[in-house]
This record gives sequence, structure tokens and C-alpha cells, in this order.
Amino acid sequence: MIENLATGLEIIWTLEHVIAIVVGSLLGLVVGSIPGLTATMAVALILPLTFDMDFVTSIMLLVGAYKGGIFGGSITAILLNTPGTPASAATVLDGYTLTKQGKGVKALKMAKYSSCLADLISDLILIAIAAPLASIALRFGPPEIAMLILFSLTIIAGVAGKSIIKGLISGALGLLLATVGLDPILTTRRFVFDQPNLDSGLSLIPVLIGLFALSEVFLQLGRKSKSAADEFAMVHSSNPADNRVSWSEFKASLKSILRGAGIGAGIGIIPGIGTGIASFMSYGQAKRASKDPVAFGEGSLEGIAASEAGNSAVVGATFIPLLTLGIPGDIITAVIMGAFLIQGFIPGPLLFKDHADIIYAIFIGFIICDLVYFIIGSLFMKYAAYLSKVPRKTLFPIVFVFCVVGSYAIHHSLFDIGILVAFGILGYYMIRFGFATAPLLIAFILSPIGESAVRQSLLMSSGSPLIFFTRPVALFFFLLTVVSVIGIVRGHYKRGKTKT
Amino acid sequence: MNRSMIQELVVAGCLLVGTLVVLFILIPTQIEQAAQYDLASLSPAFFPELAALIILGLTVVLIISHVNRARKGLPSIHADEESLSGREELRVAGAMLISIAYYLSLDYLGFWIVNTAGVAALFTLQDRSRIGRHLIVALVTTVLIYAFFHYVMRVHFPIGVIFE
Repeated sequence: MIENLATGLEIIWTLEHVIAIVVGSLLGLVVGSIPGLTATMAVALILPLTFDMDFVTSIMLLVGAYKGGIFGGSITAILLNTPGTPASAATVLDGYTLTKQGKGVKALKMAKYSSCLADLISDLILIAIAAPLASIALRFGPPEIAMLILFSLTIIAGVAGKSIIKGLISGALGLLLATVGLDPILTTRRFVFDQPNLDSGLSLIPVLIGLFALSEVFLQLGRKSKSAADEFAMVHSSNPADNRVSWSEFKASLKSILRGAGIGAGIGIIPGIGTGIASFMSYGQAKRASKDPVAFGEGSLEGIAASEAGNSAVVGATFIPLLTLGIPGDIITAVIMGAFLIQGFIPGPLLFKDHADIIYAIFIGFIICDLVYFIIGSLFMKYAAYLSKVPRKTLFPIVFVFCVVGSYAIHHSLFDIGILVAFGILGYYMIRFGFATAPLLIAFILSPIGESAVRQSLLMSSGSPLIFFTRPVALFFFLLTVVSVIGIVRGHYKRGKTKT
Repeated sequence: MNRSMIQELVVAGCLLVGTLVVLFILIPTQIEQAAQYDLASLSPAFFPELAALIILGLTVVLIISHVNRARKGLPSIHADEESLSGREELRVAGAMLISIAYYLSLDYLGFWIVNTAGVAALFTLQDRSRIGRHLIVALVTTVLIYAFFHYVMRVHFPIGVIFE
């Protein structure tokens, strides 16, 4: 392996490759930091530009955009309460609260440190144990995936807001809304109302932007600014301690970052689960393990660190099934897989045998990417902070346009704008009546995978639910779920939050 | 019973009615049944029914907890949250109507007209004193957004049926 890494370093260390990483990271940061535009969109739009490039350059450009895009999403999540990507939805919970307290720069810095560290850890895991871990994940059958999803759904309790019952209702609504479209097993239509646009279900991007960004636009447009000072979000504070992350603050969050990196890497290895879930899982686990769980959602640096570590650590790990088994880990790696195929490289185990030097060059490129977007991120954050200095009455109509364009651009579909508006209105009223929107989104993302896995499992067992308890890995995830639920219920009783 | 508790009960009641509509009207009429299934889990209605039943059960628990709180004279757990004034509610309703009009007219009038008018209307909703300035800012915003997304990001915006 050392030999391959040395050859890989020789290949990657050229000006062309470094420029590709810098440009990709910058594009990803810019696109990711625009509410409604995702890292997926950045990678998909850059892909056609890579056709004439050499293989390593093209992959480095796309990986830079992927990593930069994920981090860029956190910037608007923290400054504007509008997650630029699904991955940063959990960051909103504490990031925006800190911005409102005048600690936006501190929140951004914690996001950057935790993202880069977790990303680096994830890349090292990718390099060290790619093949063996991917082969384990490949052995997961429907019962194991179903129980993994069930465990992931317990995160809902962590983001349920003041009322756990309302949070669970919101989550169940997400499960129901995810069933719109073709049935995953029999491909019969469900809730499509003779509307062909609904055959493929409700698009995730307009649902996400509607629930998190457009609902916020409605809320903000409704409030009249009371004073000139109120027009500006408080990013910089006059107190220098509010503009930096001290070593003791970083140290206090280190456990959550390492745990998040582990969760993110573990989730990334399993195809199709993705960054959004990893960040919520990492956030939920950090909250459960924290000495101060009440601070979560009220501007906790540890919450930001956990969420960002979770989503960033997925990035490197999603390449494990892609590179070793030819299975894309998420939507973005599926797009990047297209770049592999266009360049004549078929992802899979043979790639390690035939082009080990190139694969290890890409691995080292991943680490260079982390360093590059750490530096670029610092510079970019200064300019991104100006976003929040724009008066609210000017900013939110423009955010509205970005919401519309972001929803439209991914499929060029006017119908998606309709979904955006509908979910914007739904999100607004959910917030007004005390129903957290995050559980709906988590369940909406998890539901399709969960439904397929549950039904396939029950088909395998002729309808017997015992299949979930007779397979060791499935049983392990089930027991983990039980322990998690007991912990949540005990936590709520302790804090006296079980009134509703 | 205070206003916030009445509001909570109305919301829970609407949720209950909505879930019953899903269970007894939408699921039977809007889910295609390809065949009869030996296993309930094979039915396309299995998961939607499960989700609707969870919502139904939780809504009943929510209503009971609201009623218990009301009987004990306790306020709603959201009672301490900031509420919007009538004028603020109207501004939100205005923003929603502008969004709906934006969506409905985009296909017919195209991005240039709808976006300029929509953004200007959202500006005006908050400040009615400088309509001319709002129009100019809205137009500049539309030009910049169009230039970036059309030429850099290769997004093709609708030009409007009436201009085709």
C-alpha cells in the first residue's frame, strides 16, 4: 500500500491537479452556499466540463466540488437558517441560533474545523479499510437495512422540538408523503391524482427547500423590522471571544466530532443512505451522550460539530462501495461514477488490480482537497458573512428567487416549483403550530429505502416478522433501537418534557 | 380555555379529520390495486396505511393530552411563543399568494416578467413607499440571476407560452 501511495503522490502532485481541486472546491462552496442549490447540482453541472480533461483532473474537480458543496451548504444554514444542502439541515438547529446571538463567526469556524477533521478521518478510513468494509456492507440484506432504517428513525426524537408527539406526527407525515409515486415493489401508482409528474414521487430538492428555506422566507417576510439594528443578522460580535473557537471549546466537542466521523463513515459505506441522515444521526447521538443535552437546539457548538462531522465524513466513505464494488454510495457518487465511465474506467474491484496507482492518486487527492477547502473556506467565509448583512427586506425576496431557481433547475420542471410552494406553505404552518419540520424530512428521505427493505424482508419470510430478530446484524440494529428509545424516553422524563 | 389551547385543539382536530380522509377516501381511491395479495405486506397500501395509522394514533394521544392540560388549567406548551399580529399575518398571506401566482403564471408569461413582477411585489409587500426603486432592483436581480444560471449553469428558463 505504501508503494501505491508513493506512486499516487507522484501522479497527483502537478499544478493541473491542484488547480482542479481549488477550482472545484471554490465552485462547490459558491453553489453550496446558495440556498436551494446543492452539491449534487454543482457536481452534475460541472460534469459536462470534464469530458476533455484527463481522468485524475476530472475526478479531482468533481471531488473538490462535492466537498466544497457540502461545506458551502453549512454557511447559509448558519447565517440564514436556510440549509444550502440536505446535509446541513441539522446544522441549522444550532448554527442559526448562534448567529442570532451574535456568534455567527464562531459557529462557522466550528463547522469548518469539524468538517475538515471529520473529512480527513473519513478519507484515511477510505484509504485504510476500503475493500474489507465494503464487502461487509454488501452482505446487508433487506432485514438488516430495514432495522438500520428503524434505528435511524429514532433520531426523530432528537429533533422533535418541544413536543415529542408532534415530532413523531411530523415524522409519520414524512413516511406518508414519501409513498407518493410508483410503488417500489409492484410499480403501481399511489396518490398521483392522474398527474404524470407525480409518478416519480415528490422531488426531494423542492420538498427540502420548501420546508426549510421558503417557510423561513414566509416567516421573515411577515415580520416587520423593528429597528435598524434588527435589519442585520448579527454575524460578528464586538466581543472577540464570540468570533473564535477556543481550544477548550474545540476539545469539548472533539468526542462528538470523532463520533460523528465514525457515524458518517459508517453511513457512507452503506449505499443510498447519504449525508443528511448521517448529520442527523451524529447530532442525535451527540445530544444523547452530551453532559448538556438541553443546550442542543439552543446554540450548542457541540451540536454544530456533530452535525458537520457527520455529513462531511460521509463524503470519503461513499467512495468505498463505488471504488471497490462499483456501487455508488449516494446521488453525487452516482454522478461521479458517470465521469469514471465516460473516461473509460469501470469502478469496481478490478480498478484496484489494474489501476492501483491512479486510485491511490485519487485517495491522496481527497486529502489535498481537505486542506484546500480548509484554506479556501476560511477566505470564503469572510465574503459569505456579507450575505447576512444585506437588509432582511432585500435579502428574503432574493432568497425566494434562489429557492425557485434551485427547485426548477435540477429537473427543469415547473411542477417542482409547485411542490416548492406547497411545502413552503406547509412548513410555515408546521412551524407556527409547533410541529418541527426536520422529522418530516428525515422520514421522507428514509422511507423509500425502509419501505422496500421491510416489504422485501416480509416477502422473504412469508409475512413473518421473526426475520428481523433471527439474523444477527438485524437483531443488533433492533437492540440498538430499543436502547436508543429507552434513552430518549428516560431523557424526556428527566427533563420533564413528556407533558405532551 | 385560553386562545392558544383552542388553536391547538383545532389543529389536532384538522389533523384527525385529514388522516381519516387519507385512510378512508384517498387510500382506497388513489392506490392502484394490481392484484389480490396473499400477504398484506405485498399490498401497495401497506406502508401508507401504516403511516396513516401512526398519525391517527398519535393525534388521538395529542388531543387527549391537550384536553388533560386544559382540564388542569395549564396553558399550551407553545403559549409562550411569539405570535404574529393581524398585519403580519396578512403580509405572510400576501407572500404566499405572490408565490402561488408566480408558479401559476410562469409557464404563460415566462421567467423575465414573472420574476421581475414577483420580486418587486415581495419588496413592495414590506415597503410601499418606493415602488419604482423596487422595480429597478427586481429587474437587476432578474438579469443577474438569468445571466448566471442561463450562461454559467446552463439552466433554461421558460420564456412564456404567449411569447412562443
